[in-house]
Amino acid sequence: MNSLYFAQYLVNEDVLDPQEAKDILKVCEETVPGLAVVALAEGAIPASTLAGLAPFEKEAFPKLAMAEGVLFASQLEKLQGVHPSEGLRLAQALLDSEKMDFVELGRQMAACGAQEGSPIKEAVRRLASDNEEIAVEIETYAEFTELFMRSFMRFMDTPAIINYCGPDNEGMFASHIVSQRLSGQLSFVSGIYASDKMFVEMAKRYSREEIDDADEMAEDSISEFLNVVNGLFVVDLGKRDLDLDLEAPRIGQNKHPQGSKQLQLCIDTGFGSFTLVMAADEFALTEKLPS
Amino acid sequence: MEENNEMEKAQESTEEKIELDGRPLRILVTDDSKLLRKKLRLELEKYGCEVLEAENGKEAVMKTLQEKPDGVFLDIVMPEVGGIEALRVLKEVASDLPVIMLSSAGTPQKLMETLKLGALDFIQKPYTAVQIKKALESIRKKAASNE
Repeated sequence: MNSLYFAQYLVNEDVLDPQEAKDILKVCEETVPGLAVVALAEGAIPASTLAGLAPFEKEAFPKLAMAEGVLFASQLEKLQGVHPSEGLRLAQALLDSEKMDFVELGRQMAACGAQEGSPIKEAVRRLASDNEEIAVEIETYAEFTELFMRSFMRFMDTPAIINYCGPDNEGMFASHIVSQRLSGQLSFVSGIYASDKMFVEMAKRYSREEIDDADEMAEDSISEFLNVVNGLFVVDLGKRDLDLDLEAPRIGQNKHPQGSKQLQLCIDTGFGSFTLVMAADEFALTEKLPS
Repeated sequence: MEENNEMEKAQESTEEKIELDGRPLRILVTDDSKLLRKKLRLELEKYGCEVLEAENGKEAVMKTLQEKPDGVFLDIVMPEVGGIEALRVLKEVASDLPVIMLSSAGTPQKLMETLKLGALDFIQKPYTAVQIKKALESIRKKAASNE
């Protein structure tokens, strides 16, 4: 189990409540998974064996594992090459904060790995279950959200989950919204709605540029990110013979998104929260000006 | 992190120049995103290219006529004149010009359409450094055969 969506799985299963999840995501930002967690996730050592060796310092594990004869040098070398996914960072953060021990962590990882279907899609379906207006669109929204979350974690280098508490946009006076419409055999609009502070942080992370204000460069960065995600979505749909065109992104300032068949999801990340908006109609009102 | 940066710098300084008859390739980057233009400019300059910029299809056609680039990177979704329309016009005014589509809209339908219009290749965003290097080599090859 080396899943990007481990955090979402734990929230879906009520193992973490929304506030705990929010707190642990922040910790994950600074967490580097140790080899013991990697070994557990890769199935190289059973959880009970690791529990028997604990407690040990994260950094001391390779030496200890060799001394105790639980791993070959070649296995260690292979584990060192495993990419530290968001799921592994979370697993390490859960251990460090003593929310779980190796046995519980192993149990949850195994259950997450054995689960059929995507935790992200499951969260979208649950949140939209009583919204009859989007009954037809829900699978498209779920599919898009999964692609969006995967891309967000990759490009922004952070863990992220869909928070069941829903978006809290009240009192968000300084805000930005970027949206982009897909038209053709399907009409779909996706958007990112965030406080200016969050907007700037996302822009900085995506562009890897020094951006201090919610200015043209920040808008450009978030527009480009959304454009890339929507492009990947359009390519996926194209493989199913759905021909869609991407329209130019639109930007709104201090505007609340309103459109038909709309679903707003609160996304918690390691550096703050924002709202992902999906709808059938355009909802950001200002067209992006040419740069 | 620091170690990675050092490695990247070392790699940058050893990138071989991609030239045409001993002179730098002149490349026109067309995209409405300032960020994309900036990032791609840096990537192309690693290979010694001289980089021109346009922020929509209309400007791309004008700069092509004025500046005679050896090759063009062209986005599709742009305000005013989009990439498909620009490609059509570019092929009318400079039929041999190597044009690489660089867009998020890489559907099979768009790939086919741009191929038929004479694009040399299509790179789906987000691009990789390897894809850009390969594209530059194709531009050089095509430009050399045109001379």
